[in-house]
Amino acid sequence: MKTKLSLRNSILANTNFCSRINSLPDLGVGLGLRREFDQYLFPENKLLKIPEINWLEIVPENYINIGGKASARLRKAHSLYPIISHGVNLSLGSSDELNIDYLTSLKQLINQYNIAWFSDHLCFTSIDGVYLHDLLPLPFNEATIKHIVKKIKFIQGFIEQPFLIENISYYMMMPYSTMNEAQFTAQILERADCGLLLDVNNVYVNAQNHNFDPHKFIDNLPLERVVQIHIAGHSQKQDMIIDTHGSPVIKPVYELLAYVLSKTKPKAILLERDQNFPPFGDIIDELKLIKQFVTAVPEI
Amino acid sequence: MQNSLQSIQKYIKDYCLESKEFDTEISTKFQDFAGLEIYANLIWFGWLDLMTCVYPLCKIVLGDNFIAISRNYLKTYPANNFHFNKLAKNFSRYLLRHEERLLKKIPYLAELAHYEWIEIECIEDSAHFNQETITFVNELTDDFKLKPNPTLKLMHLQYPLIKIADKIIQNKNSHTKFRKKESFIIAFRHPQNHECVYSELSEFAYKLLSLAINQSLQYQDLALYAMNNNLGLSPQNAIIDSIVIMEKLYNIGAVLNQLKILET
Repeated sequence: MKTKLSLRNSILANTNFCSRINSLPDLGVGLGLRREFDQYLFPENKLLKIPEINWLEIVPENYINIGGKASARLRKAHSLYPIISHGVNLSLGSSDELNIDYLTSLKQLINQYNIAWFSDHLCFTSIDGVYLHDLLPLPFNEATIKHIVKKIKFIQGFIEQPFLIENISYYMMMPYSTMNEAQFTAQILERADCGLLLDVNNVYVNAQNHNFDPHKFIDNLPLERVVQIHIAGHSQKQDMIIDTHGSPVIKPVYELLAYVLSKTKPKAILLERDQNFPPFGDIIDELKLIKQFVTAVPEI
Repeated sequence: MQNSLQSIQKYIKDYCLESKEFDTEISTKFQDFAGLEIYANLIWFGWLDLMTCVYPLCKIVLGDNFIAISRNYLKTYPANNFHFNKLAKNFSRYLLRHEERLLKKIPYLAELAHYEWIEIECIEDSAHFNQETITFVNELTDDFKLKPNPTLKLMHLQYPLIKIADKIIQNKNSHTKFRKKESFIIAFRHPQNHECVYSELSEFAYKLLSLAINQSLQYQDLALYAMNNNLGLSPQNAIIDSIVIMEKLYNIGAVLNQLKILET
C-alpha cells in the first residue's frame, strides 16, 4: 500500500515539468536578498515596497535554523515581496548521499515562506562529508548524469515543489568528460524532468574562458524548461574571467540576455550582486535596464 | 564510473586541503592544474576571509601568524556543515589540542577564540523571543517562572576576557600580556536589536543565572538559593540582592521577564 507522500510523489513524477511551468507565477525582475541591502530595503524598519524590485531571492543556507537579524530580515522581506530559494549546498553532483537534514529544513523553509520553486547548482560542494563551500564542476559523462538524475527525482518528490538546476561557471575542464556542457545539462533536464535556472553571465564567462560560442550553447539547451534567469557582473583575473557578482553587468551579457529572451519567456529574472556593493541607486538602475530588455522583446 | 566520480571529487578535496596522499591515477588524467589551482585559491580565500571576520581579536594577537595557524586549523577541522560560518566553530578546540607551544606564549588565546566564537553562536541562535513585560505579584510565592534569554551563553574563564578584548582593541598590537584572573561572563543576543551583548557578572550572580538556565525555577527557589549562598548577608538582604541582580539582568536583556512585588 502506498503512503500519502509516496502517492503524491508518484503523481508529481508523472506530471511533465513543462506542463507545470504555465501554472508558476510570473514574478518579473528581482534582486538577491543580502544583509548589505537591509538599510535600503527596510529603511528604519519601515515596510515599503520598492517598485523596481518585484521579488527577492534568498540563499536558504543563510536562514535555515538561524534566528536574530537574518530571521527578522526574511520575515520583513516576505511581508513585502514573493520569495524564491536558491541554494548553494545541496551538492547535487557529490558522490556523497543527499543530506536529508538539510532537505528537511529546506522543505520547512519553502513551505513557511510560500516559495513557488527552488533551485541549486549543477555542481558538487561537498565530498566525504567535507563542505568546500564553493561550486565545483563535474565530469560531463553518462555516469554523472545517471547519478544526478536519480538525486533530482528524489529531491522533487521529497520537497514537492518545482526544482531548477543552474549552470555554473567553471574554471577547469574535468577529466573523464565525454560530452560538452550543453549536452550534459540538456540530458539531465530531460531525464530528471526538472527546470533550468539559466545563468546568462555564467554562459558568457564559460564561453570566454573555454572558447566556445555562447549563442550555440544556448541554442543547444531545452529552453522551454527555463523558469528563471540569473544575470550578474564578473571580474577579470589575469587570463581568466571569474564570476564574482562584484561588478555591474556588462553590455555583452545584456546582449546575451536579449538573445535568450528572444527565444524563451522565463517566469523571473534576477540580478545577483554579492560584493563590492555600489550605491543602491546603481542597483536600481540595473534593475530598470533589465526591465527594458524584458519589455523590448516581442511576445514569443 | 561512479567510483571515478567519487575518486575525482576526493582528489579535488585532497588537493585543496593540501593532503599529502594523492591518487596518482587521477593525477595523470588531470590536465588542468591551473584550473585546479584557481579553485584551491578561491576556496582558501573564502575560508580565511571567514576566519578573519569571526576572529578579529585573535588576528590582532597572532599578527602575521594568524593565516598560517588558521590554515592548519582548517586542515585539521575541515567544514562538516552546510552553514558556512560553522567552519570557524572549532578554532578554540584546535588551539587547545594542537597548539600547545603557542598557548604557552599566549595562554589566554584559546579562551579569546571561544569568546569570539560565542558572538556567532548568539547572533545565529535559532531561538525566537521577545522581552516580556513586567509581572506584578503580591508575594514571592505567587506563580512566576524566571525566563532567561534563550540565547544566553555562560563562560567561566581563567582570564578577564572583557577587559582583555577592550585592551586588544585599544592597543591594536599583539604584544600585550595579561594576568590570570577568574571571570564570569555571559553573552546573549539582545531581544530588540539582535546584537550580541557581553557582560561580566559576580560569581554569585553567575551561579544564580546558571541555576535559572539549568532548571525551571520559580522566583522563590532563587530567593532560597540566595539566602543559602550569598554568605555575609542577612536573609532579607540576600533576597533583595538577588532581586536587584535579576532586575539588572532584565534591564540588559539577559533575562526576559521581571517581577515586581506589590507593596501592600
